Amino acid sequence: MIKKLNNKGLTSIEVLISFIIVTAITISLFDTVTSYKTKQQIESYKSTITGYKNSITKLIYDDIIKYKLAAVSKSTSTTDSEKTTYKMTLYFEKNTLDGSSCTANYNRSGCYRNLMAVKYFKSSGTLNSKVDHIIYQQSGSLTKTTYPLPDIGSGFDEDSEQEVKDIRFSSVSFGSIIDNAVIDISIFHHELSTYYHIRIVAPTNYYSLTSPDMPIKP
Amino acid sequence: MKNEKGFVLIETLIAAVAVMGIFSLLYANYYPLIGEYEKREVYDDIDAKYAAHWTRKILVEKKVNNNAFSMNSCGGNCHILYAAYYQDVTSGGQVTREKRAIVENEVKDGSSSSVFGNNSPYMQNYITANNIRAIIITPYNITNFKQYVKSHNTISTATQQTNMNTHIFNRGFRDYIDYLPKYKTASVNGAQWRVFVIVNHNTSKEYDSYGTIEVKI
Repeated sequence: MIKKLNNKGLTSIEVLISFIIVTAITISLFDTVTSYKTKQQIESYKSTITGYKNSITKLIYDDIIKYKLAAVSKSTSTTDSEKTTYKMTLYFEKNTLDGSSCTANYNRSGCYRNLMAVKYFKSSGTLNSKVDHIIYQQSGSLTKTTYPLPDIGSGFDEDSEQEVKDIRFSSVSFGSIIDNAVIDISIFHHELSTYYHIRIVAPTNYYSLTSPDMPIKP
Repeated sequence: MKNEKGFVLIETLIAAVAVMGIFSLLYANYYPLIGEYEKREVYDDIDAKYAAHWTRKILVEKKVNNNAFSMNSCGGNCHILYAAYYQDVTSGGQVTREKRAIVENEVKDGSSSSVFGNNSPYMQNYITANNIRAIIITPYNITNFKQYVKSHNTISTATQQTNMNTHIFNRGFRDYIDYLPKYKTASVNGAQWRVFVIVNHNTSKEYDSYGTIEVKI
């Protein structure tokens, strides 16, 4: 006997069951997908901050290693109504920074760079929404290059009632610890639990030990 | 006769369950990799790499005593030049944690070697300024060192104190060493040694990061 073909397709109850199963799976995955989305966003913030930290660190270390750090000046800071600017001068042994010749005297004209970190701050209840940044200034031509903190969004600050940038410098410390230049700039993001630091530590009179006529720290 | 019924519901369900099972297995294997990545992104950072660079520079250019490269620690597989650790000290019924350090003569100061000039404790200054927690020299090929670290969380050095219990080879460092290659192929630069540096970061969340670089003397 030839069996009759079943051309009915799915019954409504089968379709209903299928929909219920798909819906249940979708709902159960919703939290997972949401948490991964948040995680991905945080990783993206971390990656951006780490990228900035790495590029600034490499920029300064490249000069320190290539042009041989001879000394650093004491850091200074100036404050106006909206920001504090921290400044340190790095003096190098080699003179090829901008093609001008380097004088091996106290000021080491032609072979230094100014490093500045500009940190905006809360003044009279107003948190400035300008972008904190680093300035690296070449000697001679005094060409300034500005490296602003990357823009990864902003949020509403309830105290100042305005939009503020999500990442800022939380502290800046330029100085020296027993013959080592120490540069420490911490970067703060309100959603990340840790501070990210640009931390550079390099011997200052390292080369002057092998070249006794080199000036020590001004 | 040809069966043109298509799949019934139960067949579809079985196939769906099988596919979900495969995805679950993939997820279970993939998930630990995320944890591994998160650990490594923290302790393999640029600060430790430059710390390793300067340590090598001081070791080589300041002509630290060649004894630095005699493997007298880790069962002959490394030389711990410097290691800071904490020790519980009981005094008057109070237990406090005190920082101690192993400092080998090679880095202690330059008084015995004129190249340092004016007894400048060059390496020691760099260690203090950069908050270095340990400096370890190993052969370029770290196969045996990896093996040693895997099975030890304490260290033994020439200057080890009697009741010292150091934890230089902590979990983070063991993970780091475990993930490194063995460096079995000879260095193209002719390096015979490696230097490992552990940098302590005293930020809002204290952590260590690790760096290594080859050394040619």
